[in-house]
Amino acid sequence: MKKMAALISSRTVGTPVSAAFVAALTVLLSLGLLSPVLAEDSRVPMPNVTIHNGDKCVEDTEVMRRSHMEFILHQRDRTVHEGIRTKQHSLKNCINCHADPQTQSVLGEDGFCQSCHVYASVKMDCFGCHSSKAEEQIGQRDPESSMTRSLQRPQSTRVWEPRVRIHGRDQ
Amino acid sequence: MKRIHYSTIDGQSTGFYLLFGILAAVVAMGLGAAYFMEHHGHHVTGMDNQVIWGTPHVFAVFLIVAASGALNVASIASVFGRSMYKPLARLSALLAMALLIGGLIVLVLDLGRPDRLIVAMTYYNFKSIFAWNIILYVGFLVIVAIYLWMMFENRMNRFTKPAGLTAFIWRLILTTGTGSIFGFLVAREAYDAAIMAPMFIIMSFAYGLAIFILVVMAAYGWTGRPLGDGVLRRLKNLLGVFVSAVLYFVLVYHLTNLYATEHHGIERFILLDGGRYTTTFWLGQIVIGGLIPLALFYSPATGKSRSMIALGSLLVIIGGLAQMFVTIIGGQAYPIDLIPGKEVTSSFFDGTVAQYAPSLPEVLLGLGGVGIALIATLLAVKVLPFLPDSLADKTVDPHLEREAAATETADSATA
Amino acid sequence: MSVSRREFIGIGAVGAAGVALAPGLNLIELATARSDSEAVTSLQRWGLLIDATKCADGCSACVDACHTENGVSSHGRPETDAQWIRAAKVRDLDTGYVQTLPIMCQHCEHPPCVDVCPTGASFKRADGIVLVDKHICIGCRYCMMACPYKARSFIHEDVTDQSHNAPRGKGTVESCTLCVHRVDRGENSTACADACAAEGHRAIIFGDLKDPNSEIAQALASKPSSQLRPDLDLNTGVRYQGLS
Repeated sequence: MKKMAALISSRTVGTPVSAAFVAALTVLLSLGLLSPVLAEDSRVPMPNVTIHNGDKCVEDTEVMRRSHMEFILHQRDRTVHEGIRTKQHSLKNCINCHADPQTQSVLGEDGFCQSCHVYASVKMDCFGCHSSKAEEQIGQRDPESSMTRSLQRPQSTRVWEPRVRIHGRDQ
Repeated sequence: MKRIHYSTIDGQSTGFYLLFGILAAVVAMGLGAAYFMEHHGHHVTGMDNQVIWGTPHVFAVFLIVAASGALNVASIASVFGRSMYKPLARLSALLAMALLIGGLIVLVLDLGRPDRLIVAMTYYNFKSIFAWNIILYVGFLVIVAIYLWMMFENRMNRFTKPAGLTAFIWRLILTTGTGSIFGFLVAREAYDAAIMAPMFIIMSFAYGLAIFILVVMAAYGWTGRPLGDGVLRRLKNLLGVFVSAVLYFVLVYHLTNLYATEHHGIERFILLDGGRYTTTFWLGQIVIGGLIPLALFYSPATGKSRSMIALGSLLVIIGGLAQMFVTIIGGQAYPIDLIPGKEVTSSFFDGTVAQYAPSLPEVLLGLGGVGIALIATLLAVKVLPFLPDSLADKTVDPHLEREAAATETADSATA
Repeated sequence: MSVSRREFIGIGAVGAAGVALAPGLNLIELATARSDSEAVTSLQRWGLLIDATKCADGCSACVDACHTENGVSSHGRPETDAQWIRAAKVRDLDTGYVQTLPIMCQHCEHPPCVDVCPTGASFKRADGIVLVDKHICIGCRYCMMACPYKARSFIHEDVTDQSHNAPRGKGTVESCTLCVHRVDRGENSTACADACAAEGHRAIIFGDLKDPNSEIAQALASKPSSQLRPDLDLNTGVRYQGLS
């Protein structure tokens, strides 16, 4: 967990190789078994975070990584008790945007939520009750919406870069 | 009066390890049952949308009620200043804590979401009797722990009385809270009665003392420490009074219901044609849990026999579980009167008596709670000096010897 | 005020302009509807009116529609399966007169389930809808013990393929939400009321009990009605007509 936090919060880490290296180093230091063989990229499991829709979340990526649970928690109370159903921080909105187009879900081995939570070993308590599937209107998004429009903008460098596969960007 | 010496039990014998092993196995089975229930969901139990609280609650409420009653012996010593009960006070307080912990664990493990125990500790609805009870239970454990400390630590002994008084008042409030879980329910005819709170208090006196007597007899029998006949006689006579009082409260509860026409349905169900609930009421609660123990305790033929006192105490416990079964499950099995004067039927079992059979996981979970209470007691008496070296009559109270002599003379005179 | 939600949205631009132009103008009177970001208020009290004389024996349209809408599915175990609404047969014990009517959460003003809930998971929204916050429900089922209408179900096993309208999962308690997802979208109907109307019975009317111009308030004002267990004085949001 600490390694994960260190990795995520480290803004200086630019490439996955060095990110992985830092992670591996932390592991090895903590184990007292510094061996260069283990520092290989493949030996460090990484979450598979695939972004399918747009490149801009409702908050900055860094903020979302650290605080998405707080946003969802806060919104959950407002929605359930006060009937406030604004989209910005709603779980439904997360799922609609982040669901895998193939499975329509944020769960599954490569699912947006599951892969990272498995990596971080943090139990989710959402999908025992909430549907993990996107609502049907996915894909029928308004082409002028900000999420779609942002696809055309030049991409900024991302911490997770090569592992964050943004569909359609390679063409 | 002689100074009382307390000591830990040896805890090296085969018997100790055997007892420990058996209790550990019971606890393990209880925990396994809880895991099974939580993993599959409650549909694997006998509980459903009609009988919402089942066998785990029978055990849990029994243990919680008995816990506050087990403290009574200590209260009699500290609050009412009866010296005979003083040597028994430590064990009394220990049993109170152990039984409460056992009952609470059963209650928590039966929750639909036991993983959210932290929610129960952090979100409070102060109008809920359950929420009060969470505070009352935790407070009880803290207060009794402090009370024990006052008793154990010589320098603190002078605070034993105020600590004991606080614990006594707290336990009365606590059992009022437990009884009110049912007493304040307007929805069901078997509940919604103010008498449930005092009835639960008097039930706690009986159940707690019955368990206490059995534990004392077992502990002193198995460790070969002396236990005076006079001590046992006092305890058993007191238990007899409590059992009579329970019967009195049950009588008043049913008479009140029988007077009001609207409650005739539930009364008919419990007293006459409720099948297993009627049988459990008359045979379990009244005969086994009330009349037979009274006969055993007060009949000259059996009143002095240790095995008969033990049997009587055991029957009080069985009767107590029967009473909980009738109260908790019988009260739910009888259908809710949705529209008075009309018979309502539906696919949701409106208007029909619920069919409930205790399932194995429920029973194992309930017994697991008993196991936790007993194993905690066993380990505590091994680690800390809870038990007096001797409970012989002359050590505990010189009056007891004279009393015994007097009864002997009276007996021989009548004979 | 008789401006419906849709009409209000239609004049939303005018309203917004009004706010901009005349900030002192009190628009609360106008606001029978609210935007996504506004909390529900006690200006409304949602409820149902059930006309037992129009409810058809053997019809299960409301039950089916509710359970489809909210993803309440059977596991083939009737004793433990959830039912948010049920069609009940009511027989007068003296006369033998039989009626049918649906029974669901009565959305009491003074709900016993809310009183007893230790964590506050069982709660009443400002607009009168009684709900379970499943996020803080610990599954103690005390609310089910306390409900005089047997309106609540415990979820006895894992649930999959939940409806987007109603998150629900094992180990928590649930009941009719008065289609709160629709209410929050500004739709003036519930699944049961729609289905009943589609069958041509119109035995269930949904609406705002506090709006004197609403259909439900007018129907209540014009004919005698009753509550289930009126002796408990819970002031239910679900009312019955023609129950004799």
